[in-house]
Amino acid sequence: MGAILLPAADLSAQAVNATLKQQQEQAFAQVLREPGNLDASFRYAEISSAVGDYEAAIGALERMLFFNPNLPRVKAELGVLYFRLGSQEMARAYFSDVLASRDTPPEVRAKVEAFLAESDKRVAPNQFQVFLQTGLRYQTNANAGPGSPLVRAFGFDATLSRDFVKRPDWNWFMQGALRHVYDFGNQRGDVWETSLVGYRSVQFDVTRLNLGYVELQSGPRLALAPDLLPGWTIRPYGIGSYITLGEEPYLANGGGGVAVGWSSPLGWTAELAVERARRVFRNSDDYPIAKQQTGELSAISLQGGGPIAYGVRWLARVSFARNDAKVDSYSYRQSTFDVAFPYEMAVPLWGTPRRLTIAPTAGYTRASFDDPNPFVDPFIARKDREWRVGAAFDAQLTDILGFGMRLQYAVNDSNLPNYRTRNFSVFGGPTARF
Amino acid sequence: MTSDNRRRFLLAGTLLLALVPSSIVRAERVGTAGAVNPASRGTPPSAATRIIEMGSQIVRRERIQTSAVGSVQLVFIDKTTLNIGPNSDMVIDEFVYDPDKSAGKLSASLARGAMRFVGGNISHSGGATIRTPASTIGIRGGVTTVAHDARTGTRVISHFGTLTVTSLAGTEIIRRPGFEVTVAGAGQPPSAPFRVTQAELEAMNRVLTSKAGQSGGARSKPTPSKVQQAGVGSQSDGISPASVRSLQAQTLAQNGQTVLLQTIARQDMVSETVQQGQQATAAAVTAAENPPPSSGDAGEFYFGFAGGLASSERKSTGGPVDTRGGPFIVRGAAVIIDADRSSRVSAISIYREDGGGDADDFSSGTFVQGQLPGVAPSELASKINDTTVTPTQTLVSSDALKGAHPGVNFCACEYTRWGGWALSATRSIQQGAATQTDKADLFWVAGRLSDPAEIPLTGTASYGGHIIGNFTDGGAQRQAAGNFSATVDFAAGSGTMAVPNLDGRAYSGSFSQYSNAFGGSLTGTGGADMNVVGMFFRGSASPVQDIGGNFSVTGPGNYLGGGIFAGSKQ
Repeated sequence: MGAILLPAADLSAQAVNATLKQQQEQAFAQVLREPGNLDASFRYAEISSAVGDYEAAIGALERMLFFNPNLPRVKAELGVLYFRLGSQEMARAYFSDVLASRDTPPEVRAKVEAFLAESDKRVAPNQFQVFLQTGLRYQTNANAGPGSPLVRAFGFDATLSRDFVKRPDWNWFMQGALRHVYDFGNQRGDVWETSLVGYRSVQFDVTRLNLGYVELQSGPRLALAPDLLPGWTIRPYGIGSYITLGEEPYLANGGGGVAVGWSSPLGWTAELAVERARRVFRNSDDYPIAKQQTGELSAISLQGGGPIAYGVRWLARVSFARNDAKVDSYSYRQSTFDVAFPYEMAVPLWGTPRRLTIAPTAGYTRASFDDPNPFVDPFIARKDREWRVGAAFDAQLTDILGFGMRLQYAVNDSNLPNYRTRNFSVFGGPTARF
Repeated sequence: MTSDNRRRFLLAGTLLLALVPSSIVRAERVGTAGAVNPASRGTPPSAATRIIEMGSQIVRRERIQTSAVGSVQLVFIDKTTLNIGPNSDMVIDEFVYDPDKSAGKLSASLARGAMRFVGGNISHSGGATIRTPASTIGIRGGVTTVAHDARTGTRVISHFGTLTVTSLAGTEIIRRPGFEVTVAGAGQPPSAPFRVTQAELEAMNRVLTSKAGQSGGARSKPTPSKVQQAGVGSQSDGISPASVRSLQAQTLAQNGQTVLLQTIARQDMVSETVQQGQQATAAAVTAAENPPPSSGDAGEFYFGFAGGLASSERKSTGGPVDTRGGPFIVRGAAVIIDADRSSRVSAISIYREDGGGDADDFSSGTFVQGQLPGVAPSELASKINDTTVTPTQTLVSSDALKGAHPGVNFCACEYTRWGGWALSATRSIQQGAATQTDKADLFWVAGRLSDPAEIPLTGTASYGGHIIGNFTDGGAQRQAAGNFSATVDFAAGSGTMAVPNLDGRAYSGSFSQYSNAFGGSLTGTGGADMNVVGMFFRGSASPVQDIGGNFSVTGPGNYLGGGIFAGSKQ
């Protein structure tokens, strides 16, 4: 989850860019007239870098080395420019040269060592990314209880069992994600991606909601046709997960899918995925009829994203799911829509620019169940519509540590009073990324 | 020609030459020598060889040659730079540039030596080509190092962009930085791309710049303090290397932000699964705690189970009858409401247990008979899948069924009722292109529910009664009945059940019990399995006086069966 921030120079508004491009042309014209003019060449290198024309800056700085091959700062900056291009091997050649020289000032040495460490990671055939977070969560309706205790049973008015009346609760949670990418080393850039995600929550009060969740997903991501369709990939994958609820085994889930994705260097992405999984539920004392939900869950989803302006992006996801359970009152057809507008900015923190992301979110889900649940109403099959709004905040404080928070308000409207729920949830805590 | 005329001709020619616009002469210029270490020579087309110095104008089709210690950086007018190392021999074959479109063509031939090409606007639009005696290299991007000598052939290293390396015998494409292709000779195919070594890169860097003591022709050399004053590197000071996103990704690995969205979506799905689990339990427990009043102003209410076999026939207009794979098991719930002495509603809600069939096949259905005062008939409509149907329905009394199975001891149940229910419904499918008739031969059992608080938590009880259902081996269906015995241990929350003879097979096994419901699987002879689900029903003597439920049976050779059982405490 690391490489998201654009170089600080690229965060300047587009209007400034046009002026800089003009200045670059003027500086270049002077270099052509007076190639020996050092000030002109330095200026040209600086503006080229600011405008994102790293090759022009490289040409100018390599000329400096012609004039004096013993310039550690110039070699360090050449290394950084090649690093920005993605040319790790060249970057490392220059960085090693800088570290080998006796004349390198200490602050340049420190900077080069930091870049070299990151470069090591980027050329390794096995790359890892870890995300961890722990914290507290508060929900006004932790147990998904309806707003009113007047519900339905067997089609008649009934009083909701006391244990299931809507209850607020705190929980402690911990979540982690480990992502591994294996580089096949071929020209197409094919990789094998694996991710392991875990989540654990312990309620302060309603302990039957204690959740344990582990998911493993793995599969190759292959270029579809690098020359005909640049940026298009296909990713077949297998997925399996295991959930415990109330400290007892609850659900084992296994299946696979295929995702076809596209991304452009300008920051636009899209992905169409199809997934099918078999879900096997287990009965327990707290969930004595869970097994009836066993079945197959199939889903097709389309997600995309792109830049809007001034650091704001949009991300959206539409999906259609069909759950086919053993007992048809748990089978449903569901359509979901979610949208988020992450806004990233660089905030100086103790002299270093740090990333802060704020993302408002909204979503809508519509679900229709196949059959009435006779326990609730033998004649009416459940139909739900849920609206939700929220926001996510993520702040990076040091290279590794940060803070993340998310809040959400969700209202579920149903044709059966048993399922009319509202919930406000807020959770947050420190994060670690490396 | 006379000497006078020759003089006139020469004069005219000179005047004409003077009138030629100087722009044509200027159009020949392609760039400047940005840095030069001696000895480096340039030979413009149809002109004498000259020594190149810093600032020398370089023209199209000029040949550049460097000595064993010479090196040059050429700066082209489209911002391309070309570093040329010692012992090199290169010709600028072609240079055309349109500054308004920022595009054009650049091609050069390297007969021997080494060069680094750092692309400007022409290569960004794919117009740059380098030729060596062994290969032709197309550059889109890009930054590349090319070297050639007669002994080892051509070496091409990509630092950025896409390179196409072609020889007479084949083509290779380098799409990733840090990869190299070699071509041993013109008739040899290019090697597959392989990773360049650090040592080779460092060696190339040393070759393509000044050696110690050389200054590239600069009158004033840049010093480290001048470099620092000029602010070189200040833009990248304080930036976290991990936060830098490279212009050319090494691999197709997805970026972290998109992965984060998928993780959030999956976590939301887990929350939803947990919610549904909560709500399912809530519904069951609430139902158990709120049995509708069995008698009084609201009438009498019976709740129970249904089970049996169903079959379908599909007929397309003008086509044959399709029996849709034969009979299948259906199970579900039964509800009987006696509103007052004169109105009663009976309803069963059943689902297909095997989950088979296509979208038009029977998956689930609700069938209603009778009316309730104050309830509109449309709310009591029968449905198959989501379509309203008008079924033909027949209730078969328990007396009639008892008479058909004389050898069986039927349940001496007090309030618990049971019987048979046959139905048939035809509906139009496939937008009217076909009709489907679904028939079900079911049994039902329903009793008065007990208050879950009354279900014992200790002690045991024994039950006996009958079990009746429909069976098939894939074709015709037959009815069979038998007896069963069961014991329940309320403290352990479990029980056992045995069926000595039902349609020629015997079953036994155990089940789990929770509050007023129970369920489990029994093993039968001949490889058959029976799944049972049931509840306790109230009697005048005990809240668990009767039991009733439904069952399904599957066995080898398409053996299927479904039905109900009813029993009372012994």
